[in-house]
Amino acid sequence: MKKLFQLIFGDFRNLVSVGLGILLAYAAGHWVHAAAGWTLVAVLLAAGFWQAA
Amino acid sequence: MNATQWGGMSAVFLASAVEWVEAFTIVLAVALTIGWRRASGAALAALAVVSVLIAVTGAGLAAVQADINLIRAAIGVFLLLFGLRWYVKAIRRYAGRTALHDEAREFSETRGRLVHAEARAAWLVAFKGVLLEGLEVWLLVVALGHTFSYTQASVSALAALLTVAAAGLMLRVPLTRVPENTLKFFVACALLSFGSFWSLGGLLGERTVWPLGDATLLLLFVVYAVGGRVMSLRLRLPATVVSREGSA
Repeated sequence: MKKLFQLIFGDFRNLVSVGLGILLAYAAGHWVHAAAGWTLVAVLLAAGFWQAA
Repeated sequence: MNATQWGGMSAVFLASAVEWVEAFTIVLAVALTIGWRRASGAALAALAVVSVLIAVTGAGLAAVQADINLIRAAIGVFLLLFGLRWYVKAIRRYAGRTALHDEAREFSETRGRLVHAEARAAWLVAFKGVLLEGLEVWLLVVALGHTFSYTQASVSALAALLTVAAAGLMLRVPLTRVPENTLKFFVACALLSFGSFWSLGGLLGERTVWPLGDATLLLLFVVYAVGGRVMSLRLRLPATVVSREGSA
């Protein structure tokens, strides 16, 4: 079960990264619609760097 | 077929191929120990289990008359979780912070473990290996197939399986020549692109968030690919550190 969970969601940092990206993008989308998508991309790239470092 | 269907089928094909390469390596190692007939039987049994799962889940989801945007958002988030993991792993391997996945080493280690094992245990190794990799393919088929077509997603996964098996059987050696990390990196970029597109498109409206429509997918792919390569260069360890860590 733990293996399946990890297979789907990854570790805690992975969950936090994606969750934070969606939240920030959702918030940005309420200010400027077109900014939502690229906010998510920026957060995910930063998260990728953070996790890989 | 439209661009979304072609893109979805390509993503399923490439992602499935990565998993099937790993599964085939295990089956190959087992086959040389207990014979092709029994190893193939184990692989087919595992594939049968995965096929049933695909059929049941596909039918179950198709019967649910749920909000397509909500489902798209949920699938998008799942793809982001799945894709980000692969993305980080590939960057670390490019940067030399994690050893490159070595199919030849996996092959020799698997064979070594089987030398004194019972035939039944060997059969289980092949069964579990194919089942685990098949499970990952199933998750991809369910996630991506809902958006365009379960049939097309299943056909793509099956085509990837047949391609890998045919290539492996023709070569008759472990598939060490397949640049696994490069393949995984580009698959991760594709998963992140689809995940970004669908998650926010489902939550806030596709045309609102991505005014360029489907063409955005290509742009997202390029951004993630270039970003990942730049990161791997920035994170590359000096040769002295790599050799010290390797000898530790």
